[in-house]
Amino acid sequence: MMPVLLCAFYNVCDGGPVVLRNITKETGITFRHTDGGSGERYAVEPFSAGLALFDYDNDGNIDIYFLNGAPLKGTKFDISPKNALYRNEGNWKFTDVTKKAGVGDTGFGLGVTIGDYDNDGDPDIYLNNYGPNVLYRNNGNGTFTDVTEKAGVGCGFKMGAGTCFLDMDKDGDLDLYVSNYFDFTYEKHTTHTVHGIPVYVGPGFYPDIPDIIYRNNGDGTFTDASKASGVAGHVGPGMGMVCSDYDNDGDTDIFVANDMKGNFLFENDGTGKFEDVGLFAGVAYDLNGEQHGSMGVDSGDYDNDGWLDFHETSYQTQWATLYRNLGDGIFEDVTPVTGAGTGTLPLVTWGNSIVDFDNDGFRDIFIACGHIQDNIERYDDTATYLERNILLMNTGDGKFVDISDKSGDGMNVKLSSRGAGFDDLDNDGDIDVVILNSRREPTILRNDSPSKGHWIQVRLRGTKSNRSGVGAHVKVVAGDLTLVDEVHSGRGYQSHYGMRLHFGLGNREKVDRIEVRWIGGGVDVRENLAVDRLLTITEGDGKTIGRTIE
Amino acid sequence: MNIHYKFGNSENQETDLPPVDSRFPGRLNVWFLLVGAIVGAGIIIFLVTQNWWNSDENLKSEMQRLQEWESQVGSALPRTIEALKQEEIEVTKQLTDNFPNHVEPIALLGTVYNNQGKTQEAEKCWQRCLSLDPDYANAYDNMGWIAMRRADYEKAVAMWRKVLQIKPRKPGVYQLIANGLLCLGRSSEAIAALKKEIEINPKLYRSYFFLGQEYSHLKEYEKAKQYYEAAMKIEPRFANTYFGLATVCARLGQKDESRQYREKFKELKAQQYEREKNSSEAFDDMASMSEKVSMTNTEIGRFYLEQGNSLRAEQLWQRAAALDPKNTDCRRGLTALYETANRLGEALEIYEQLRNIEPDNAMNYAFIGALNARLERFDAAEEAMKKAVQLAPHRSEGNSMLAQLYLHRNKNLAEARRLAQTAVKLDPSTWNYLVLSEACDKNGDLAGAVSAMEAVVKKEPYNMEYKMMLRRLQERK
Repeated sequence: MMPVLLCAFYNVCDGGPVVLRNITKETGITFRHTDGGSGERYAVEPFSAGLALFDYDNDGNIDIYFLNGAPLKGTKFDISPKNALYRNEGNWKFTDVTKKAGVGDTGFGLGVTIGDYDNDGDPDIYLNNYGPNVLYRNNGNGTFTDVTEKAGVGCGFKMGAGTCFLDMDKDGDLDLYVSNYFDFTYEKHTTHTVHGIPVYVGPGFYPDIPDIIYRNNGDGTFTDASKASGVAGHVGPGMGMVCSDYDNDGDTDIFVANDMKGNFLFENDGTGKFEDVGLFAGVAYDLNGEQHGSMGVDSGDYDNDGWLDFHETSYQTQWATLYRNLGDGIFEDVTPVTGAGTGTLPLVTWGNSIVDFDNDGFRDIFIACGHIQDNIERYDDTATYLERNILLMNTGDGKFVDISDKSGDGMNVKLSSRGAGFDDLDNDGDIDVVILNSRREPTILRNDSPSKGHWIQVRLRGTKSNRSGVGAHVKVVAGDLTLVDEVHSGRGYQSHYGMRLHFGLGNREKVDRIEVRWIGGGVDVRENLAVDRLLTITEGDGKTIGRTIE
Repeated sequence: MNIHYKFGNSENQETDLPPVDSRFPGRLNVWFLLVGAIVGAGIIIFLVTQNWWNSDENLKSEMQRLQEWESQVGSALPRTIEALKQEEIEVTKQLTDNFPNHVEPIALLGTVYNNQGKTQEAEKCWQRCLSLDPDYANAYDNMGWIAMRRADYEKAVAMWRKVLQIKPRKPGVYQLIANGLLCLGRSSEAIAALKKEIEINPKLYRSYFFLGQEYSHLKEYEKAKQYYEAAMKIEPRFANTYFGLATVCARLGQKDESRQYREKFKELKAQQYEREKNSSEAFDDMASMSEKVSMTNTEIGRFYLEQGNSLRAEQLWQRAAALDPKNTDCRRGLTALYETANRLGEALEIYEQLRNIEPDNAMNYAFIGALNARLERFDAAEEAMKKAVQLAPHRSEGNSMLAQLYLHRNKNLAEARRLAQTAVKLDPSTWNYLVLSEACDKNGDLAGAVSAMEAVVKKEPYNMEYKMMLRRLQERK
């Protein structure tokens, strides 16, 4: 009797190396997403939205910012839906501070990124909406101010998608990339049916629109540098994106996942001029040369070879795809040979991350799933609107195995997930998960994995380079293990997370060396460091500030 | 994934005049009757062997069914796609009820379910097919596709291996197995399967393409390149091959070649993107769903006819015609039925519909001409036949038919001879020589008539009738 009860109440019988517990109800989070739909099936509805995990008040706890849809034509709400900021009070309790913080944007939310664009030491928020975009400047006292107009980053009225801050020209401040999906308007709205069932339509039925890149003028304003940077010459239905120095040449490149058109990989020449090398590099298409209905993209070194790989999510009948960086400017689609696509083919996949859940030193893959069509079951019984998410464990030999079935009740949740964020929400040294679900409450997953390896987290403070350390490259050496990572602003499916870099170390009890290569070329090295701690490294500062987390 | 099943070959639609049976009917004017009857001849023979119409009981039963049918679906067309889908299921289910021990109707129901996204129901149908006929390979094939769609690669491979047990050299199956194996990461087995496919079907470019891909993964780039090149040779418009070639050339350090292939890939992909942009292939509307249901009715009608039930075939084809104003298959079926039953006016009406659907198809004009001639509407016949000649001047039949019409009506005899001569030039067949002989004779050119008839006899020396005709001409000479 007792074992059965234990299993039922505590899920201790999950048996897997990773256990993710669904603790949504315990958190006090009451946010509920809406896509603003009125039944007309406007194309923008199913693509909402991403989320952001970041420490808005610099109290050491990762807070959560959910994006929300807004009433579309024909829809009315008694209370306008808005984005929501939840302050992490610790012990898995969250407080809605949206109103106080002044970040309850009522625009139609799609993508979000976080970065300290004004280098004042606190993280700011940029929202890529359907409609005018918003830049919230963090006032440093728990409140934000809408500075969009002043900054000049409103973007007009477009259907946005992913967005990232990056220092494209190594001048020490954060520039801004804004991905746009397609030119949807009510006037251009079109509907189609499959077997007589009305469905949402995507790109192809609307004109593509170019993305925008803004150069930070360093005075709180931005200048549209799309043409000068070379980005404006490339038009595609942009979705999620990530900025990453894939070729390790010290500047930040840009990966834009395009929906049903080759992905862009903009290689930076070091001055903020870009050339699309996606096709050459082998990430524009999958191994067959087929374009994907790409959704989200993340960057991380899954095979610990020192090169950042890409993982891209996609549409039904396409694998979520893992591109291995071969280190010579070329990637190889290793999805079938690694098993990284396991379980994804019949699903529509969205938020994702290459992240180490069990601290064994090998990064696993989490994939948020859920169909676009809320009525898919009516015309395709091989698919469902609500889906379980997928957790693929890295076995350390270049392969992945699907451990979703034995990773706790958090992996049994069936919803239509979109953006997902990954960070250590309870500061216990492992990575937790927050998922935004279309039309529903979010899912909060606490990492309760049974046997944890050692770990170290690294938080960067730029001085010459941008304050957030965005784009900085970090190498951690612990015995025979060498790990690399990079500070990203904006990643996955139109989301932001993981600015505090997390390294699982397995059984290594100390870190021999940490090397930080800042944007601009400066390098800081720390040696002989204790594990199981959050380490803050300030650019050019000989001191290392660290604290051990119990 | 496309799983299409058809009872018969519906691809033999001529876009031009068909070859004419060369048997001589004895009198030229009888030939007009034969032109229309050619299509129906097979049906007549079939019906004779079935002897179905001699049964009063059958006829009564058919009349009852006709009335039932008309009361069910013969009236208004469905107004929604849902209703169309329902009709498609119902009419196919009715077929399976009528022929519960026949594999084909059940397989068709499976296909209908599958096309409507009801794969579980489809699978049940294909399982039933296998219980009736364990060697029904299509069932395994279709279930393999469904398993792939559900990402159940092991099952997909197992299903396709079953196909090979039944049809060991069925083209394409090894390639499907290879695809499943690739999804399972079983590369070496996939390579073996692909090589087997090439043995069976050396023209399947995708097998070479996949081999290129696998050898590329194995870092055997030279070998990969060879296979990609083989794929390109067979199908130079397949963009993805150039993607593979660009990749392996880059790995081999062949930068210029890699760049050229990349450019070619970009060019072909851009074309593909433009083609597929705004494509509504994945979507449907009333019109496209009506077309699908119309085709299903056509196939079912064909099956009923094969089983000797021409009344039901007619109902279904009429329904198919009503559902899709451009369905030519069902209309051709109807014309054959009507001609067989000597319902010439109705046959003519349908041929006129076919002519409107395919205004460039000379065959339709030829048949309209022949039917009008049978109905003694000679002006209309002449006009149609002239159009047939105009549309297909390189074919002999139109010239020959028009010549016959003039000869039959004793008008434009000189033109008739010219047409007959043209027909002989285009096709020196027995029949055309016969027409020429008649034309020469009617123009007072007895020597020409004899000469043409000699050519006839030379072609068919054992035909006594031709010999007699020649003798009669020679005697007159």
